[in-house]
Amino acid sequence: MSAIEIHNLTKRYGAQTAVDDVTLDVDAGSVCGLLGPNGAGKSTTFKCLLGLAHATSGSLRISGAPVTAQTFESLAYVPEKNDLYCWMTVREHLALTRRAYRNYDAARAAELLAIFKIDSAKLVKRLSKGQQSAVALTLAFAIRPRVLVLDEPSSGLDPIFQRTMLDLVIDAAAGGATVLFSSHQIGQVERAADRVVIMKNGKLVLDGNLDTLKGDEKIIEAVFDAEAVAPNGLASDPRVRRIERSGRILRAYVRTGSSDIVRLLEGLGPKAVSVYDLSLEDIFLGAVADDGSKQGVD
Amino acid sequence: MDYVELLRIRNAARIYGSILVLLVAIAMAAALWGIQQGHEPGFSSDRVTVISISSDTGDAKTPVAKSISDLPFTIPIGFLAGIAAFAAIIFATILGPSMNKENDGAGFAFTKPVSRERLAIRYVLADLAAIIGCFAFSVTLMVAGIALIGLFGRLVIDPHAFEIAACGLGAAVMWYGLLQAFTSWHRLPGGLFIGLSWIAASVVGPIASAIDLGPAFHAAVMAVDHLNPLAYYGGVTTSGHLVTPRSSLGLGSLETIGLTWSIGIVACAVAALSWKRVEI
Repeated sequence: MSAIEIHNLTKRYGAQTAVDDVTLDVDAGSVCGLLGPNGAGKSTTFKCLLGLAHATSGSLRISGAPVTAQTFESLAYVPEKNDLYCWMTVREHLALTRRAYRNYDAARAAELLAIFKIDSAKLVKRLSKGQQSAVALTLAFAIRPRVLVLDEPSSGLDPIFQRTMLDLVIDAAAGGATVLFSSHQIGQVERAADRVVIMKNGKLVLDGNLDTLKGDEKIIEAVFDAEAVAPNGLASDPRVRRIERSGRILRAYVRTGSSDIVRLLEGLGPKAVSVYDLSLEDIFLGAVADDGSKQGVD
Repeated sequence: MDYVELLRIRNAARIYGSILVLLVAIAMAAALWGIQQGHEPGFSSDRVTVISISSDTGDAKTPVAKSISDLPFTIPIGFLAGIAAFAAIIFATILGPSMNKENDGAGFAFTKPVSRERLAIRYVLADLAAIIGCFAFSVTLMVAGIALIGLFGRLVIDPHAFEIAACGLGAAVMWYGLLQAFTSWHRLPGGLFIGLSWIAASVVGPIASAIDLGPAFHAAVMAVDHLNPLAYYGGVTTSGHLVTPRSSLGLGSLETIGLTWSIGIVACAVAALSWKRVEI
């Protein structure tokens, strides 16, 4: 069953289309990582999903129902831009959260504040950006949510607390929660997400299980004695998603049938031909590369 | 979520309450000084010349001191209500853009399990209670101050005291509601609208009313003036012991009370509906 259903979401601001016909279902108990360059439409998708922005068209459901105030009883949202009240103390934020949620767990909140080393008596404006992010995460996880929507949750956190944040996400998912989160840090998505979705210019350009995505595509790298030249027909081969040339190196991103492509390249007499598994970074860069750039530049 | 608004009210009340206490203390000191100088601090239809509170004797020509209790003045509660109403109006304008304050963020209030309509109602109810509380606090503070300088016995409940309170609070609620309606649907700073509303109500409005540019202009100014809370309640008029609310629109008290409270409540409802459509 899908805990988050986004169907044909389009959001326009005047003539500008921020999100263009995006469809995304996130299974209950899974972690979905949303990647994309700045302005790809990730935050707008989240805002539409949560009712903070009105969708121009499309259907949005959480736990099988349209989003209402009641949805937030079991949903936690951490926005990209800190949404805490700077004039309030951390303790007052905890009191506010306790009053707003029936399933607020005070012990969990105290535990998380201790982990993040936050003084609850402090005003939020006296905290660093990373500490403010930690408070936002504390409030989110303290309500024991069934659905978590996290927009750049590690923003400002140091590497140690970024790891803590990832552990919280993985732990929540292990407990049955559904997590949809965006990040610019590909390593975080690679570590925590079961599934990766990549957006570009408001459109969803790649969507799949992380292991499948990695297994589906290979990088074939050929090193030549002289300037690399792509063989005829390689660029138009439907199995080849992208070709990069860099001096004597020719790299082909191949979806299936890598052995055929290896043979084709070996026919050109290279010094060496190697086949690599893709990293998520390779997948991301390939997905967000400019259209029509199948032939890479030197 | 109204907890946030309660905290805002608490913070505003701390500062504003301190200012009111200071002002009352200054007024008490001024009243005492005035009595010592021979001025009459209250209301009387008969002029009484007070020579001095204390005087060193010995000189047969020196006028004999009079005790305050000998003075025939009274202090109508309606007059205090008139002053307290202005305190409440100022406080109402401070609280006015409370919905607007939630728009300039990432939607903390909007991602909690309470609908915006309910949140708006809670904010408005909390603010209205605070405005009435401010009025009551101001009256109590002034009565306490009067008691401290030994004039409690001079207080009288005059026939228009409740009328003045209802008119003044009506103007406060109207101003509060209009500020909510003008600020709930956008992200511009609410404080800007507080300032502009004071300039419009207390400077532009009276000046426009005073300018004679023909009947059409006058009619337009009068029409716009119906949105000026200070045109409904412009303080009190005293005549001897009688204190009555003053309205530059020439309305009776009942009309003033009905219109101001109605405009305020309708404006709050419009603000809540507009707030519902705000995008973050």
